[in-house]
Amino acid sequence: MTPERWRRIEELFHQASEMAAESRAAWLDGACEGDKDLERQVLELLASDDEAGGGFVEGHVGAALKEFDAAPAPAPERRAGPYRLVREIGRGGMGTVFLGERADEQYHAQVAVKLLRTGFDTDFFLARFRRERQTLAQLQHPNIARLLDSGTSDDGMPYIVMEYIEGQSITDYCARERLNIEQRLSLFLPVCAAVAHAHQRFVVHRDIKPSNILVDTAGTPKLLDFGICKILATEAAPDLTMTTGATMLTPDYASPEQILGDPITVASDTYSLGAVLYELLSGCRPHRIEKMTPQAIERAICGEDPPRPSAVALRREDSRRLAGDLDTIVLKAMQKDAARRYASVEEFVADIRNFLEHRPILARPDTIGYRAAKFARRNRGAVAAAVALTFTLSAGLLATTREARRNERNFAIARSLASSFVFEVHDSIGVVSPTKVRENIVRIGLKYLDTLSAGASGDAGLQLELAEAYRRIGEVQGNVMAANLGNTAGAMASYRKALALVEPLPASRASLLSEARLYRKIADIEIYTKRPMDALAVLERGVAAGDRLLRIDPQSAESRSAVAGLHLTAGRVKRMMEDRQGTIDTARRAQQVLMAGGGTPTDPEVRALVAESFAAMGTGQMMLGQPKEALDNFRKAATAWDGLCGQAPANVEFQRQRMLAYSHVGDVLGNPSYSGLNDRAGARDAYRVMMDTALSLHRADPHDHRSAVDYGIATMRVADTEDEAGRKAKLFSEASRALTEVVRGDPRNRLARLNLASVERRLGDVIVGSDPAGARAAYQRGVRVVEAMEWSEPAAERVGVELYRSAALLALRQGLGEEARDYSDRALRVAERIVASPSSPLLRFVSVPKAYQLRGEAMEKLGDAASARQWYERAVVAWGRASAMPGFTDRYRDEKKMAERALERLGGRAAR
Amino acid sequence: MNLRLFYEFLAIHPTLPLQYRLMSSFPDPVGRERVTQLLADWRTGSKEALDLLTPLVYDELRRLAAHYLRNERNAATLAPTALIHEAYLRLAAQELPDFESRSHFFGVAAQLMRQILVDHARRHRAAKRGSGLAPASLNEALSFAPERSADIVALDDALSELARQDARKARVIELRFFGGLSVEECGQVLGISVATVGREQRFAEAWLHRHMTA
Repeated sequence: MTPERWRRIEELFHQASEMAAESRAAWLDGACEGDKDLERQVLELLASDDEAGGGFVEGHVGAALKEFDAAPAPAPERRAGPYRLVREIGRGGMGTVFLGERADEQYHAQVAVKLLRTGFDTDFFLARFRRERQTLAQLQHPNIARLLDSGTSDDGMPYIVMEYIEGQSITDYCARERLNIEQRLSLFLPVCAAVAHAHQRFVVHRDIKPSNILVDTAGTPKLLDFGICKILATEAAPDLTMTTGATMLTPDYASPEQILGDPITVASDTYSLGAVLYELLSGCRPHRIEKMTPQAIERAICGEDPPRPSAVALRREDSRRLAGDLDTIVLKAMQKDAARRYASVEEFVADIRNFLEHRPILARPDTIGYRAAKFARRNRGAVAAAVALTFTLSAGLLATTREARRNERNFAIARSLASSFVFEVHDSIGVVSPTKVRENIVRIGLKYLDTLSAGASGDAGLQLELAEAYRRIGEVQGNVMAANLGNTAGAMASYRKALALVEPLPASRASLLSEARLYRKIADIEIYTKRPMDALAVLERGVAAGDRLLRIDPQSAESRSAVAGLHLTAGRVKRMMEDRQGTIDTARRAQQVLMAGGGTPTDPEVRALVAESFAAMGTGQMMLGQPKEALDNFRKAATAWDGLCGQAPANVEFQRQRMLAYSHVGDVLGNPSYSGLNDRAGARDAYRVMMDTALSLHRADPHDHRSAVDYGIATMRVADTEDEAGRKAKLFSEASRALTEVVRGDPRNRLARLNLASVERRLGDVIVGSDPAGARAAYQRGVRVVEAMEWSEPAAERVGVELYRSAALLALRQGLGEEARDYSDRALRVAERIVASPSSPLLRFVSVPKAYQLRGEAMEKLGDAASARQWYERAVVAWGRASAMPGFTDRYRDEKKMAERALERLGGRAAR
Repeated sequence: MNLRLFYEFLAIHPTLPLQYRLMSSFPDPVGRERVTQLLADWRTGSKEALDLLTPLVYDELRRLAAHYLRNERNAATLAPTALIHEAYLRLAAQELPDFESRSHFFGVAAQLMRQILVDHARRHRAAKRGSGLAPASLNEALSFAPERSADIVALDDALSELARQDARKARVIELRFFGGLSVEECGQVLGISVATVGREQRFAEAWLHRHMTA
């Protein structure tokens, strides 16, 4: 079947499948234009589609899987040397452990046979297996499972034979035998002795956990499984030392250095012994690992101090016995900082003996003073902001405790927040990055807030406080207008929770202010992650709350800022929808609110919003095709920001706004995409200010997605105004790199996606002469990015059509007719969407003639002059329509002429 | 944290969902690196790589399949998804794999999954023919009707036929049903939109159905 016919069948199939079943046949009859075979094929496919119902392939694969599972497993009787393998009793990283018996019946003793697994007989594993055997041979201790024999099985697999220990894990044993504290300690001491014995031979076990400590029928504890042990002070091959750490750990007993992949020493075993003792004494594991995600494990092990064993002990009499010395001993062994643990297992043993013999112990508990000092020491630099937020949060919630005092439960929770929240955060500061700290704040903060708000109903003061706290958390999570963690979904959830708390409250200044602010935040995220027009409904509700607020409080800077902010946000949406008048109207309304009462505003937030409204006004004027007026407003905005930045040089947000103001100035002066004043040099100067500011903001906080996007866009703009091709290409590549990184980390970031697609097109256009393959790859990347946006906004359509055009023209040049045709098909589909929508402003509409023109060019190159002429005709007509719209500039005029000339070349006549 | 360690935790942590604990055969990074290398070799045409790879992956797939089929209501959907994803988590040597190696992996793993299932069915069918064995029990006879194995082989043939006409549609089917990828993931791997994946899948399913019932 030819590809054309296949495509036709597919097209008809999809069109028909969207119709009601009864009308398909008649429609198809018409659509197939008498091609009965075509009609039959589509009808059969439609029937199959109905019958298959989407579960056809799934059913087949499912049945095959079932059968796969049902087939008997190959289970031949196995032997290892003279040992018969009776059954599998365990599986380790590279080996399987079997219960074995001497096949030659020399003696009947049962043994444990560890065999290297099939597929693992590489040099690496063989070496490692040998090493475990050598290690075991060195270790002869009554509390370490003995090595009995070793060899190579008939099929060439090495094996080791160990003492088979019939018993149960040390924790199960203690529970079943109901051992008291002293008995448990006495059982634990020989385990420590076994570990110390290994340490003396430079062997670190690295996987000490209850299931590796079995108590045999005689009541003797035995340490097993040196499978991942590490030998200190011997010269192992480098590949061994590099990778041996990464095997089979159990997070509950693993030390922070193991979790973080840091160097491992004997102190790691001390930590694990401490964790085992913790569980032996209290009956609980030291950490509550809620989810088995890397983050959760790291948080639990490295970020959270375990509660004192006495606080969690299952039996009350144990709790009393544990409080004090035993708590101190266990927690000393489990210090996160290896240097603060017992210096050796022997010291740990000595302290346990001190306790058993009623002597004073060596370990000292951490005092609050010590922790506070440690906290203050660590509270520096980039971390300071996060910590400040923590304090604000907990201080806010402490205030709520006054309200909550009536409610015993809330009070208790708020109090625990005040203590443990700060301490949990403080610990995480020591070991992880600022972003991690902020994530910690968010997680813990949300936990407390959720609990508190469950009981907050009916208490207006508490509800407002909680809403405020949720808003701040949302800010850290993903406020798209400020430095954030890129978690917009989480931020949205927090804002919604806050809104649910304040909306039912009776109208007051505080509740309305809170509502107005929250609606703006929610709209910001919707603009960022969804279709911008959806945000308008949210903003309308916000403005309604804002109007009520202004009736109660028309004067304060706070309420004026909140309401003006809503108008300006609505203006941003109007701008994205390319609603010119709407853009100007909203800016004007914002200025009215801000200037109400007359005089020059002094409050920085109000001043900032005034500057923003200048910029918004300028944007509207640009869209109306009034560049001179717009430039005037943009310069006013830039000057206002220069002043605000001088007043508050550390304010990152002001810096960013200044950067944006300069970007606008540059756009008016010379961005070729706008109806510019064609002052390229002036534009480049403005863009360089923009790029430098963006870069310094990005460097100040590399995790902040927003400054990365800014930097990408700024770099693209400088590249646009650059004259030399090599420099241009370099700058575009840099912009692509920066934006790709953002899109990877935050795939919902539409601004980054849009600009990335655009950068790829520009990069391709610059290098298309010198490096066609590179250009083609750039176009393909751009097309992928823009198509994934599903035409959710006019800008995507424009970028998309431009990409298709560039890609198609290149394909034509390379003789790839089909590819060019495919791209022009896609461009036409976009054009159809635009034509189908009721009214499209020029910036959106120009994609239509461009798509027609492209199809004409493709058809012409493919040798179909008649079709090409038709498309050129359409392009000329569409350009005619475009030229009647405001904003039609010389650049478009040139394109229009190009279409007319093409048409004349093919013997058609441009309609006048 | 070290992501490698994390997946190893998963293999043995007692409070974990069973599916994680079932996985215990490639905890070593070198084992995984080897598997990843083999996957790459196989993709570039090394038959030897497949021979080495199959027993390694087979075991894992099998145990996971057994688990899912017993425990999940909608086994047919869940099994491949879980298999591939878990296999990925366990096999990929990269700690924080970038997008390309991820999609590469899914693409190859889906292919491997298909091959293993089809080979198994072929062998099974041959063995049945050879020995003339009746199903072991009535239950087995009901749930594993003999034409089943023919079905997956027929599907495989039809899919190869589809690939000759329209490779992308065949890839969609492979990724979605043998790879168990979601529509979104499938779109990512192939670089097409979610809507396109949906359309491709619908047409391909209809085509396969017609091709196999005609």
